[in-house]
Amino acid sequence: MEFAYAPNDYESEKASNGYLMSVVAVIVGLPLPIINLLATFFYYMGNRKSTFFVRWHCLQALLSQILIVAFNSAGFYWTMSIIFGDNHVDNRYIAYIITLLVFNLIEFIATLVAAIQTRKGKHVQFFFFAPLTNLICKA
Amino acid sequence: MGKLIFQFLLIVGSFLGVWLLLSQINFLEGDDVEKFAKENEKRLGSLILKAIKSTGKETKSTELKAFVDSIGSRVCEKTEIKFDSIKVLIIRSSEVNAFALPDHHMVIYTGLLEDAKNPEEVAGVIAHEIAHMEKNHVMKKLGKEIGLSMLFAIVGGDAGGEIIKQTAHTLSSSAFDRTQEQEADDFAVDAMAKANIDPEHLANFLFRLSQQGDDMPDELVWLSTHPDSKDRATEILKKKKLLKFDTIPVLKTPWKEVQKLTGGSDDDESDD
Repeated sequence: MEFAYAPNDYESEKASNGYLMSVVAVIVGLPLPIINLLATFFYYMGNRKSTFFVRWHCLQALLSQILIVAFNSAGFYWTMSIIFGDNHVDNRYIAYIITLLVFNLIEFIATLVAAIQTRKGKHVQFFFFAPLTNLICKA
Repeated sequence: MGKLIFQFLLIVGSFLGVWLLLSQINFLEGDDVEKFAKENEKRLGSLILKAIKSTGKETKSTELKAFVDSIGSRVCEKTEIKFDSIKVLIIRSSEVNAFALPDHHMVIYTGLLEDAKNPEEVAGVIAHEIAHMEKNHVMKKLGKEIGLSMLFAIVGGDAGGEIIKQTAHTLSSSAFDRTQEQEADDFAVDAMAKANIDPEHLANFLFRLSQQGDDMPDELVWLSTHPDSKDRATEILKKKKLLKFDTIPVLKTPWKEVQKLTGGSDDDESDD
């Protein structure tokens, strides 16, 4: 779907950086699952008075982190309870970690693609997160 | 809005679905202890049992065995476990102890039968030990305490009698970890409630043992192998409140009559 107006080069770069922020933060912030959320949050806060295209994509980048952060946090807490608590590694835990890796990989690739496409001025819309962004972000 | 909720549920559902599907795979199948258990548990069980029997302290009272079998069958009646498949050995000893061996063998000391205030308490202990068997805690404990290479030496006939005795001693006198104890308690509480036996009896037994522990620490082996008894008794009482059951006595024969069959424990017993 096309955006309401054609963003200029400056806007595309700023919007694209919103996605890159989370990608870079994932690399830096591992294994702490909250870092990428914080990075995109502060980037969004810094650009909330920017143009509609920039705001919209910064918000989509932020919202797309929330679910994966929730899943990652559960995995993080579970791992800590195994290392420091009474829990032990079982099939359910291993399955959860593999599921986390798969979903993180999908999210990572999607974010990277979004960053590249947005840089070209294309309006990338994620499943679920785009309609959610539309609800929150008004022109 | 409806579409948004649908898409949200689809993402969460697919995450949970992938997790659930992957959980069906046995990633730990290659676990050495599990593998060893599958192939050698039977032989290991019979060797350890032989070592215990060789002490000559096995009770000869068939009547006492029948009562214990009856208690075990009752507590298992609503579970998937057939008590017939569990081989019970009653040993004359003043130690308050019971423990599970590999290959579904269970050892109960007459000291425990004498210390129990009623057959319901014994039912609780039996259910607890059955859980250790069913959840493979016994082999896991042996793998951890004795070591896999030593277990291989035992079943291969390369280990001497002393080592087998030591292995039996490990099973009778060392504790399972806290998670395993918790699992065994949960199983016991469920099995007791399903069989219309009040789980409070197991809590009472644990609680009483923890109070007696200071006066006679050497006798109460089951207490030392089952730590945190007070906390666990409290947990059992909490769980009990969530369950609905009737209370039907385990035995019709007065418990004192059954206790007389133990013959006062230890080597001086004259059974039958």
